[in-house]
Amino acid sequence: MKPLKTLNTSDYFEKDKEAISSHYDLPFEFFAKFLGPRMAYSCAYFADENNSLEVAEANKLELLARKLLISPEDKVLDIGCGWGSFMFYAVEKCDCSVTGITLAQEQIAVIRETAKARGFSTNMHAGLMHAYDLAFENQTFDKVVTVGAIEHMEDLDRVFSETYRVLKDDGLFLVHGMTQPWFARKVTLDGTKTEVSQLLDEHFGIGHLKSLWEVMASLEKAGFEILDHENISQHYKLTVEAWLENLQKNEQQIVDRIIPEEKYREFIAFMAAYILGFEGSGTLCNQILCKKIFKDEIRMPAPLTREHMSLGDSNG
Amino acid sequence: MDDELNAKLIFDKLLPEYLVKDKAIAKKINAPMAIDLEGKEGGQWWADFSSDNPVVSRGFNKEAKCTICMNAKDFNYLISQQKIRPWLEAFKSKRITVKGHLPTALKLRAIVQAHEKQAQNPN
Repeated sequence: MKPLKTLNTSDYFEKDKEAISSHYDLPFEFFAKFLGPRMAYSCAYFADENNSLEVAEANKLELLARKLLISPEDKVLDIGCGWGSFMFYAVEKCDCSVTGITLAQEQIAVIRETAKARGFSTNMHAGLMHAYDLAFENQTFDKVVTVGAIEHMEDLDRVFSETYRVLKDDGLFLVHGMTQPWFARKVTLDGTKTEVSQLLDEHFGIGHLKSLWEVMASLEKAGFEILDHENISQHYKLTVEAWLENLQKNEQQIVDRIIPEEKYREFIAFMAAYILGFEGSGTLCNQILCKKIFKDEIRMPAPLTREHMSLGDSNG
Repeated sequence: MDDELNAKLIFDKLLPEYLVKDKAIAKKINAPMAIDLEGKEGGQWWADFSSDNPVVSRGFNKEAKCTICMNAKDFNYLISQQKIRPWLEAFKSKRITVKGHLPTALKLRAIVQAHEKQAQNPN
């Protein structure tokens, strides 16, 4: 797997890298104790509430691939790729080429090691890169996906403009991420940092939960047409419940040899708080599918219904 | 906030009053919960917040979705704090432990908030 060019000349790169790393560079083994086998640290998709985490995790990845209509010829960019769950899924199931970027060095090491072990040497690339400055030529990618990363991005206008630039004219862009309802967001915009926001920032390294309309406005301003939106908040509640169950099941091993007990207890407290957030409407999760609007465009044929996005046959 | 605030005052007197005044408190918690406070000023309480007429009683012979265990002195101090951070620090250092469903235990916050609300607007 070829290394990507790294852009690290800016203040925000170092600041955000440090913040992101404070959370995501915890030992891989710790995350492996509670995430599903594909190591997707984002909302899974429960086609049936009895789905296991493993099935729901695969459902989510399949849903992303279906929404993006990924084909073997596609070059795909994954912004905030985590430990590469979507990258590996897309390469294996869709036989496409995938590039992933993240600000967590530990994640890149894991992806490279796994890719090498699984023989993905030519069609998978991972690198340390900030989403504000995508080091790619214009119109490089057919599809772009970002999963569970916009929560860490302050300037979505800039991220989406960069995405627009590197996406081919007929390309699709899928944004999967958390938002907060407007009444809560307005408090932050009015200049008040709530104690909950402060605690979340400290725990997750950095947090910029926008409202849904702000995310959509940034997409439209960047030049995207929104094709589809799905609120997947209740899927996230089920996901975090499964993570918390795994954490508590593996407590002894975790505190004995992976992370300090205080850190473990902080994690389970935040997991529990997120479950309550999703149980009400305090925290929301969305998938937004977009296409690039471009000059002299003639709309390409596209599915007329949402049927291709259905996972009715994925009950595990 | 009331300097004399303590677990016995909260669970024996104030909370039963708050639950009658404001039905939303029980609705927020919506589960049976037990509190086990150690120490001289401690005690055990049980309440079924999922009931239409929630009652707080001494002891916990019935099943609870979660049991919150801590020292009564800690509880008395924390209940007078209007911040979440001291509760989180107490939980991290195991001065608060929870048996059962952890997310439900976090709903203890609804009781703290109910008291803050009543203290600000007694009528």
